[in-house]
Amino acid sequence: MADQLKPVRWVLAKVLGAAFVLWAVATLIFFGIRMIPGDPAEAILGGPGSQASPEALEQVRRDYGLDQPLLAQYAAQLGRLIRGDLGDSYSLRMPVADLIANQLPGTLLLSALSLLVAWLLALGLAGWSTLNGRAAGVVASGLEIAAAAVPHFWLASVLILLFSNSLGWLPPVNTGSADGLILPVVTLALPLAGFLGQVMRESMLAAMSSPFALSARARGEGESGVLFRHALRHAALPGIALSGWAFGNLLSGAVVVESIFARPGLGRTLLNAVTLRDIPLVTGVALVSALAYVLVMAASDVAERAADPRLRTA
Amino acid sequence: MNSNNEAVLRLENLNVAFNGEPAVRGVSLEIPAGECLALVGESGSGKSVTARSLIGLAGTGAKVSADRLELSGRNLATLSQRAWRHVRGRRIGFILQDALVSLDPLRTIGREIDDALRLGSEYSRRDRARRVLSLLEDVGLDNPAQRAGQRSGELSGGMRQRALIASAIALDPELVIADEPTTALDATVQAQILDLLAGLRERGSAMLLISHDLAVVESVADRVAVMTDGRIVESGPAAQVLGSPSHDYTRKLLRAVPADHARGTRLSASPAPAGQAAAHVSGQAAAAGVSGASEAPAGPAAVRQRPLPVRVPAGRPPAGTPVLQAAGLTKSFRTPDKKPFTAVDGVSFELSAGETLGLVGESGSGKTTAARLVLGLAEPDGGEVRLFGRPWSGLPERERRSRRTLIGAVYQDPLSSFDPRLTVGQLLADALSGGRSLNAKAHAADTARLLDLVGLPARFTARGPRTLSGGQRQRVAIARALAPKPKIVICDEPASALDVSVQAQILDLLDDLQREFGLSYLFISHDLGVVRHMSDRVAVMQRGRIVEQGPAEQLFASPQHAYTRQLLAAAVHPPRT
Amino acid sequence: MSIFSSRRSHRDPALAARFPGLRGLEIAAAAAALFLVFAACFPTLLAPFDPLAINPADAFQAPSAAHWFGTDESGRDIYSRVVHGARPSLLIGAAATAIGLGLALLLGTAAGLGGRWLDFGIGRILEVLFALPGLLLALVFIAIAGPGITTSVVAVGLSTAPGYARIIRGQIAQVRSSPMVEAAVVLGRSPARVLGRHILPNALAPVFVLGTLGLGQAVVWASSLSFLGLGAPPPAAEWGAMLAAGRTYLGTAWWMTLFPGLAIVLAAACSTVLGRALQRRAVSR
Repeated sequence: MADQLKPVRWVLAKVLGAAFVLWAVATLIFFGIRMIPGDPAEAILGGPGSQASPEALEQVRRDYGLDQPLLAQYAAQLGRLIRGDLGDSYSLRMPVADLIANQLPGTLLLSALSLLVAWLLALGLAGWSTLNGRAAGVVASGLEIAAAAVPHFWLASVLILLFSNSLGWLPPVNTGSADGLILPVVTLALPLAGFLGQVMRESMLAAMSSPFALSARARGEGESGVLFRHALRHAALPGIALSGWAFGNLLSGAVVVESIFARPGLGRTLLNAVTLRDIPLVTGVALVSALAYVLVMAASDVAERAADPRLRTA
Repeated sequence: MNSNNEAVLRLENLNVAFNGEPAVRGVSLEIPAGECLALVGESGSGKSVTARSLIGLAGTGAKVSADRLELSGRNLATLSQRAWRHVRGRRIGFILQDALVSLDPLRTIGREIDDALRLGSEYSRRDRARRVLSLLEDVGLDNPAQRAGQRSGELSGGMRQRALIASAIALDPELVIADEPTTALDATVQAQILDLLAGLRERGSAMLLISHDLAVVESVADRVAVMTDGRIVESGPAAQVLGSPSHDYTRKLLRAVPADHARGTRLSASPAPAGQAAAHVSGQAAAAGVSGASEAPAGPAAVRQRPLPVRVPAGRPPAGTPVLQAAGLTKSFRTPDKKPFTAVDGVSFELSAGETLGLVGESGSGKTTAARLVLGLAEPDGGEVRLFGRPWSGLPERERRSRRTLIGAVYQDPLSSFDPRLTVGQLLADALSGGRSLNAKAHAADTARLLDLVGLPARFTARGPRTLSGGQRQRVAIARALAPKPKIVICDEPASALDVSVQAQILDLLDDLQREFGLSYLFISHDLGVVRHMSDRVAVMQRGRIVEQGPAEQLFASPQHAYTRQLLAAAVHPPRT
Repeated sequence: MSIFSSRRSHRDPALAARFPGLRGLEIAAAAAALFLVFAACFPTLLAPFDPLAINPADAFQAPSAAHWFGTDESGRDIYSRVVHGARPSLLIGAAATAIGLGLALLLGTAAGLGGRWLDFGIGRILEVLFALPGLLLALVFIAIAGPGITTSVVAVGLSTAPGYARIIRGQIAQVRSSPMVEAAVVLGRSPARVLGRHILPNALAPVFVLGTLGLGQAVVWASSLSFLGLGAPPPAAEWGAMLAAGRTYLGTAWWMTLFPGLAIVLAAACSTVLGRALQRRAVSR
C-alpha cells in the first residue's frame, strides 16, 4: 500500500514545489518593479526614458489597477496568472502567451540538439582518452578546460568568421533551413561538453580502475570491453544527474546564441524584452523558463533513478 | 618442494617492481592439482601483487619478470595481451575481496556471470542462461532465477561473494586465485564461504588463497607460504608452518593472534631491550609495510617506569565498584524507507572499576549504537545510563559536559576523528587544555609524556595525522583519549582496521595502560579472539539484544545461548601454537 | 629470463586523475594569471597607446608590427585596449564573485547551522533562484533595476550565489555530522567551541577554491552582459564591450573580435586550472 502511494506523493510534492517556484518568481518581479523609485506605470512601459505616450501610461494604470492599493494589485495580478493570462507585451502589442507559444519550440529544439551533441562529444572524448593512456588524458583535460572557458558570444563570432566568412560553408544567420542550425548548436554544445566531459571522464577513469573492472579483466575482458560494458554507464551517471543543470546552462546560453544568429526563440525574446524593459513579457518568459527548468529537473531525477539502481534501494 | 609433473602452477623467481621500488622479490610457488596453497602476509607484503602478476594484471608501471611461469606446463611468461585474455577466466579464475565493489553495481549478477561464459566459451545464449542458473545453484544461492536478475547492491555480503565466486569458476579453471575472499564478512558467513572454497578444491582445481588471517588459512590450506617485504620467508605443509614455525616472522605473526592467548599475556614482541627490539624490526625491514621503525613497541617495563603525564588522583575507585551502568537501553531508528528499526533493545550491563567488558556481535547487531548511547552521543528511547552512580543519559548536554572527562573513546578509524587541520601536537594540546588552547609549545612537556606513554617519540608533535601509519594514528588517538584523565574508555573496534602484528601492539598497549591507570574498558569488537583476549567479562549481542553475558573464560568454555555457540563454531579455528 | 610488461593491461586512472601531468599547464596558468593581474594593476607599463585616443586615420588596421592586435573603427590600438581592459573586466568579475560568495556564505551557513525550518526555508529560496539559471536571473534583475555596470555586477553575483550556497550548506552539514565533531563532543567541548574550532574552519576552507574556480565564470557572464549592451557601455575598454563593438565589423575586421575574446578565454581558463590545482592540494593535504 505504502509502495503504491509513493509515486503519487512524489508527483504531488513536485507539483507543489513547481507551483511555489512560479508563485515566488511572479511575486519577486511584481514587488521588485514597485520597489524601484518612480512611476510603476512608466517602469512597466520600458522604464524612465522610454517616453511612453500619456495614453499608454493611462492604459497601463487602468489595466494593472495602479490606482488600487498595492495588495489588491498583487491579488489581481496573481488571479490573472492563475487563469493563464500573462497580459500583453507593450512593445510587440501582442498577448504574451501567444508570443511565447510561438518562440518556445525553437528554443527547445536548439537545447535538445545541443544537449545531445554535448553528450556525444563529452563521452567520445572521455572514451578516447581512457583507451589511449596518460598523454591523451592530459590532452582531453586541456580541451575540456578550454572549451568550458569559452564564452558563447565569442565562440559564435569565431565560428561565423571561420565557417561563414572564410569558408562560406554555413550561413551566418538563421535562414530557416537545417544547416542554419549547425553553428548555433555547436556554439551551445562545445562549452557544455567541456563541463560535462570533466565529470564524465573522471567517473569513467574511476570505473576503469575499480575492483569490478579488475574482476572483468580477470574474467578475460579486454580494455575496450571493460570500457563499453562497464565504464560507459558509470561515466553516463553524472551526466544524467547534471542534465537538469545542463538544460539551465543551455537556456542561459540561448539568450546570446539566438540573438547572434538571429534565431527566433525564448532567449532572444527575453533579451529584447529586457532591453526595452517590457515587464509583462519578461515576467512571462521568466515564468515559462522556470516551469521548463523545474520539469526538466524532475525528469532528470527520474532518469537518474532509472539509471542507477543504487539510488532506488538506498 | 615435491616437484612432480602434476603441478598446475609453477612459478620461479618472480620479481615485480613499481617505479624501481621492488614489491615482489624472487617468489617461487608450485601448486599441484586439487591442492590449496595459502600465501599469508600483512598489508604491503606483496602477496596481492604476486597474485595479480599470475594473471598478467600486476598494475600500471609494473616491471614484472620471472624465470618461469607455467600453467599445466604451458608457458605464460611470453604471452601477448590478447593471449592473456584467453587464459584469464578460462584457465585461471580470480576472486577478489569485497564483492560489493568487485561486481559492477549497475549490472545484474546474471550478466556478470554470463560475461565470463560469453568471453571464454562457445556456448549459445540459451545454454549460457541455463549455465548461469546452475552456477548460482552450485555456489549455494537460493532461487537462482530471481538472484540472476539482481544487482550486487540488492544482495547480502555473503550472497554477493557467492555470485563473485560463481563468475570466477564459471569455466572450471585449472587454477583459482582467491584474494582475501572472506575479509569483509561476518564470522558465520565467512565460515560458509570457506566451506564453498574448500569444495572447489575437491573438484580438482588448484587454489591459491591470499590472506592476512592465519585462522582462515589454517581451515582451508594444504600448504602455507609466509610472505613479508616481497619475499617468501617460510613455506611448507600448513600443520608444520603454523604448528612449529621456523622463521622469526612467522612466530611473530602467530604470537600476534589474540585468540589463544590468555587475558594479560602479551601479543607483540617480548619486552626486549629497546635496541634489540629495534634491530628485530629493521631486520624485517618494516614488516608491516606501513610501519616504520617508530612503530617499534615500547616495552611495557619502560612504560611503567616513566612518570605519568597527569597524576592519577589518589581516589581511584576500588576494583569492583560499578562505574558505568546501563539498564534496559532501547533505541529505534527509521530506515530510509520509513520502517522503524530497533537497533538496541533492552540492553543492560555493568562495568566495574578496572575491568574490561567485551561487547561482541556481528555487523548490525547494535554494538556501536550501544556505545553511542553510553557516550551520550545519542539519547536512549527507553532505559538509562548511569555514570559513577549518577544519571548520565537524558541530561542536557550542558550538565553532562563537566563530567565528560570521566569517559573517553577510541574509534576504529582514528583519522576521521581528528581535525585534519591540526598537527598531533595541537590535537593533544587541545585535549590537555580542555579545548582552551591549540598551542603545542605551551604543553610541550605534557604532550611529549603522553606520546611517550603510547610509545611514540616526541618529534611526532609536528606531524600531521595523515602522514602517520595506521598503528601510529591509533596510538595518537589513545593518547588523546587519555589526556583528560578518564576513568572509562569506550574502545569501538580499536584494532580492527590494522594488520595483525600492529593490532597486537595496540592491544598490548591498551592492556598496559589499563593496569597503569586502573581504567575500565567497554571493548567492542566483532572478533571473538580479540574480545576473548581483552575482556574480563563478555556480553554477546544479536539483533539489538544481549543474548548472553558472563565471565569471559566461562562464556567461551561453556556457552549457554545457541547464538553464542553458533558464533564460536563459525569462528574458524585459531592456529595451534 | 623473460619480461612480460603489463603496460597496457591495467592503467591506474586514480593516479592519472590525481596527477594528470597537468603540472606544466598549472605553471603556465599561474604565469598567465600573474600577467593579467599585472596588466590590471599597471596597464600603462604594457600598453604602448592610449586606449581611448581616437585616430580616424588609423581605423580598421589589420594586426601589424605597430599595432599587434590591429585597430578598431576609431583607430584605437586593440592591444592597448585589451591590456587596459584587464582592470575593469577582472574587477567586475571579482566584485560579482565577492557578492555571490558573500550572499552564499550568509544563506549556506544559516541553512547548515540553523534548525530544520531555516534549512527548509533557505532551501526553497535557493530553488527559486535555481529555477532561473545563469543569465536568466541576471536578465530579470536587469529588467527590474535597469542596465549599467553596477546592476550587471550585482546581477552576475546574484546568479552565482545559489550554486555556492548549496555547496557551502552541504559542506557544513557534512562536517557537522563527521566523527571529528563527535570526538570533540566526547571530549566535552561546548557547541560554540566545536563550531568555531572545527566546523567553520573545515567547512569554509573550500570557499577560496570556490572563488578561484568561479571568478572565470563571473568574468564570462559579466562580459556577456556587456556584449549584449546591458553592462559596461562602449567605448569603455572592457572586453565584453569591445566585443560588442567588434560585432558590427565582424565581416571586415576580425581582429576586433578575436583578441578581446582570447583575453576572456585566457582569464576563464586560468581560473579553472588554478582553482582545480588548489582543490587538489586541499584534498591531498
